[in-house]
Amino acid sequence: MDKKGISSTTALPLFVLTLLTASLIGVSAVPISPYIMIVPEKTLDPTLTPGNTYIVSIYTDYTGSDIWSWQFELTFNPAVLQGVTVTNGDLITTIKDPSAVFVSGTFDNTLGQLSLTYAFFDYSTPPAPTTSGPGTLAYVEFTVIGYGSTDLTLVEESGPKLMDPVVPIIDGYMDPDNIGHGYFKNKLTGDADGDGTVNVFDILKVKYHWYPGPPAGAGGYDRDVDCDDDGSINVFDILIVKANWGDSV
Amino acid sequence: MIVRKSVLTRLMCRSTALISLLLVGVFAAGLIAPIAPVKAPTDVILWLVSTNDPGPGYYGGYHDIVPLLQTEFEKIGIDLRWENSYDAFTWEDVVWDITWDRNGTYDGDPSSHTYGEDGWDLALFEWWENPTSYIWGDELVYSWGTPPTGWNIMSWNDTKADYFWQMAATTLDTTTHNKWMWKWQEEAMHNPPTIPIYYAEQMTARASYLDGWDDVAWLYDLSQLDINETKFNEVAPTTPYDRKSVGSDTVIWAAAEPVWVMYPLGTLTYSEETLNVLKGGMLYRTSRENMAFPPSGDFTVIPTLAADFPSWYQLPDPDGRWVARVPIRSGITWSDGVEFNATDVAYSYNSVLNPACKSQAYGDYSFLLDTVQVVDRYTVDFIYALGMGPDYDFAGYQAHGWALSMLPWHQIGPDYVTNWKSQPYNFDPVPVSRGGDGLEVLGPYVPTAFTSEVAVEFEKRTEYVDALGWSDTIPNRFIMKFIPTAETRFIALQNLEADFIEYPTAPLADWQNMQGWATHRVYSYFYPAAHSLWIQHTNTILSNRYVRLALAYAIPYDTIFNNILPGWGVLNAYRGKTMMVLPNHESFHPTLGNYEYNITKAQQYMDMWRNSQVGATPSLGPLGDHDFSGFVEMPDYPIWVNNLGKYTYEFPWWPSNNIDPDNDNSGRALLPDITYWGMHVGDRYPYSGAW
Repeated sequence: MDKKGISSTTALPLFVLTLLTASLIGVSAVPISPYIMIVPEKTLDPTLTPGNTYIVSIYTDYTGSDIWSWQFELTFNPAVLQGVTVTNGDLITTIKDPSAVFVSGTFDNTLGQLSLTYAFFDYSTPPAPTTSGPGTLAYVEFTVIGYGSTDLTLVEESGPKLMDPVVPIIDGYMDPDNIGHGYFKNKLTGDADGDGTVNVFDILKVKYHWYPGPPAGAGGYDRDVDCDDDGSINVFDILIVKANWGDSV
Repeated sequence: MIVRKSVLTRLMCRSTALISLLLVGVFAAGLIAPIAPVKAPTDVILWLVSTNDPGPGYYGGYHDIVPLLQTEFEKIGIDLRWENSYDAFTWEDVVWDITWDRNGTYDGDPSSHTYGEDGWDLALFEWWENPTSYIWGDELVYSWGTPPTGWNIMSWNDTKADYFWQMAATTLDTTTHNKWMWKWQEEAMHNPPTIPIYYAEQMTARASYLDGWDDVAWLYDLSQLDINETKFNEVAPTTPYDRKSVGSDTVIWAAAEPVWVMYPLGTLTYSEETLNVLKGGMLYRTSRENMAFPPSGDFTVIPTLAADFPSWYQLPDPDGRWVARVPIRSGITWSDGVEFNATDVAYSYNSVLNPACKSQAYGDYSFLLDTVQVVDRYTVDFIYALGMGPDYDFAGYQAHGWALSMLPWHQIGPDYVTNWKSQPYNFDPVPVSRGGDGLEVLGPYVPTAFTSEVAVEFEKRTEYVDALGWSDTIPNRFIMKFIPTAETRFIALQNLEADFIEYPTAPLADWQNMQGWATHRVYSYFYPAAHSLWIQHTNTILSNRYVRLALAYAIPYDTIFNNILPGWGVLNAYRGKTMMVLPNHESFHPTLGNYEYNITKAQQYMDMWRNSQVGATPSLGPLGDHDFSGFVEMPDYPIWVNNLGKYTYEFPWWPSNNIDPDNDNSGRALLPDITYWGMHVGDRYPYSGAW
C-alpha cells in the first residue's frame, strides 16, 4: 500500500488554491450541515483538457471540538480522470497533536477507486486527543486523461465518517444527505453526446433525454446530457447547443 | 465464552427420541439432496423449534424443509437439532413468552439446555405483511421491541436499522419513504435478523358469490364486502352443508387458530386480530388501494376515527416538545350507545405507553410519545418525546403501524388494566350490553354470541359503517368459525360451510381440481407474508453476523422451491431478500441481491467466526474487524482502546453486536492486537461488497 503522511504546512497552500478554485467555479447543492463534501461540488470546464491537473478537497463544516478521526473512500470514472496523490488536509495533523496519523488509500486507476483513506489521533489510553472543525480532511489530485464527465462519489457503503472517540459525528451510511459528492465535466458546452463537436446530434441527444415534461424522453434524465446542469433537460439545453453550434475540440 | 468441548460426547447422550428424530431428518434430507458433505468440524449445536399444524407457519411446509437444513448446515459444522413436539401454546411460550430470552446458561450445549426454561436458537414461521403498510412490522424490527412489548423475538439490536425504519415510517412522501426503506433493506441483509427463505404466490379460493374481498387488504378493510344475492341463489348448496338456509345476509369466515386472549392492545394470532379489526377501529389507516393486491404504489392515509390529519405546535416549556393535535370524529358510539370521544383515545394510547399494561404496541410508540392528553371532547394531544417532531408524521406512523384498537374508558377506566388475563372480558368477546362479559366495541361488527373454540357471531353496526361511508352492501351478519385442522378447513371451503377461510392450504392438484366449479372462484395471489428462518441473537454464536450469513448461504432454496412448496399450494415462490418488504411492494429494493445457496461461501463465513475464537488461527479470521461488520475501519479502533487489557470473556456483549478486538486470538486484548488492525484497515471479509 502507498501510505504516506503529509504535513499540514504542505497542505495549506493546496487548501487555499482549492478554495480559490471553488469560489471561481461556484459551489452548489451543499448537503445538509454538518456535512462532508467534495469541493468544488462541480466543475464544468472545457479548458481542463487531458494532461491538466485537477484537485479536489474533502471538506467538513462541522464546528465541534470532539473530532478524533475521519475516513472516506472515493470512486471516479477512470476514462476521464486518473488518481495521482492524496495529501492530508488541515483537520487532523501532527501540528495539532503529535499523535496524528494520516494514511492515504491507494488508487485503482482501472476501476476508478481510491481505497479507504483516513486519519486519526493514535492513542491507547483515554481520553483521546481531539480537534475541532471546520477543516479539510484531504486533497485528492487527479490528472485529466480523457474527454467527458465523471461523478466523484464518496462511497456510501463504507460510510464517509467524521468520528468522535466513540461514535461517528457524521456517517454517510446513516445520513447520506449529509454527504456532498463531486462532479467533473470537461466536455465542450453544448456537446451533449460527448463526440467532441456541437451539432445536430446533440439536439437529438437532448430530446431523447428530455426531462421532465413532454416529450417524454425514453432515456430519462442523464446529467451528462444536461448542458446547463440545472437538473432538467429542456429547451434551455437546446438553446445552449445552438449557442455553441459548430464548436469542436 | 463459547464452550465447544465434548459436544460430540454430549450428542451421544441425547434421548433416543431426539436421536431418532435426527436420523429421520437426515434420512429424509438424504433422499432429497444427496450432496457429499464438505468437511467441517461439527462444533456448533443449534436447536430449531417448530410447531404442528395449524400453528404459525402453516403455509410453509416447514416440516419438510427442516431435514434439508439439517443436511446443509452439517456441511458447515452445525449440528441442527429439531424440536417439533410443541403444541401452539407451548411453542408460543418458547419463542415469545416465558422462555423467549434464553434466561438459562445455554451456550450451544444441549446438556445445559432445558426446554421450558431456556429459549430457542432457530424457528420457522411466517410473518404477515400488508404490501404497503407494514402493519405488524415495526414492533418486530425495533431494537427495543422485544417481548413482551413487541415481536422482536430475535433481539435484533441494530440501531442503524431502527433509525432507517423510523425515517421511512414517519414520512408520507413516497420518494423519501422508499429511500429510507432501501437503506433499511441493505442493513437488514448486511446484518440479518432473520433469513427469508421465500415469498409465495399462493393458490386459494372463495365462494363465487362473495364480492368485495381482497386477500391482502384482508379484514382491515371490509368497506366493499358484499354477497351477490343472484349468484348466491344460483350456487349456494343445501347439502352436505345447507348454506342456503344460513342466508345471503350472512358471511362465514373460518379461522385456523384459536383465540387465546381478547386484548385489544395485544394479539398473538390472526384470529385475535380478526376479532380486533371486526370490532375495533384505528385513528388512521392506509387506503384499501394501498393494501389490496396489486398495490397502488402510493401512500394514501385515511383519517378513520380521527376527523382529520394532525395539526402541530410546540409546548412553551424550555424543551419545546412537539405536540400532534388530533381531531376526533364525532357521532361514533360504542356498542352500548355511549359516545366515543377523546377520553377513550387518550386512555387507549396511555395504556399502550404504560409498560405495566404489556401492550405489544409499547415498542412501537414508547420512543415517539411521552403521553397523550385530552384537550376537549373531540380533540387529543399526542405529546412527542424529546427530539421527536413533525418529521415523524403521526398519521402515517399510526396507519403504517399495528392496528391498535380503542379501549372503552367508560367501561374499564380510569385505572389502567395491568392484569388483563384475569379479567372477565378477556374470555368473552360479547359485550355487556349484548349479555356477555366482554368489552363494548366500536367497529363495523359487534359480537352477539360466542362458543369457545367453535364460533363467534357478529352483527353489523350500521351507524359505524354509515359514518365511515362504507358500502351498505356489507352483510348484516358475520360468523367466524374456528376450524383448526387444515384438511377439515379445506373441505369446509369446498362445501361452503365457510365462504372464505384462513390458510386454505392444499396441494396444487387439489386447487386445479376445483377450477371450473360454479360455486367457487379459484385463483392465486401474492401471499403477503415472509417465510423466514428466525434467529435468536441472544445465542452468542448466532449473535455473530458472520454465522447468520453462513446460514443464509447454506439454505438450499431451489430444492425447497421445486420439491416442497408445490405440495403446499404455492404456485410460484420468490426468493426473499429481507423479511419485511415484499417483492410486490413499491419499497422493495430494486437492485439488492438475494442470498443464494453457496455452501463454499457459507463455509467461509462460518470460518470467519471460527477463526476469531481464542486459540484459532488468527490469520484466517477477520483481523481488525472488531465489530464483525465485515469492513475494517475507524470505528473498530475505539473498540480496541476501550477493551485494552480485558480478557475475551470480559468484552461487553449484547445481541447482534458482539465484539472481538483480540486479533491474535490470545484470549486478551493487548497492544499487539492493534497492529493487525493497522495492517488491515480498508479490508472487507470475506468478500467485497456489503455482504
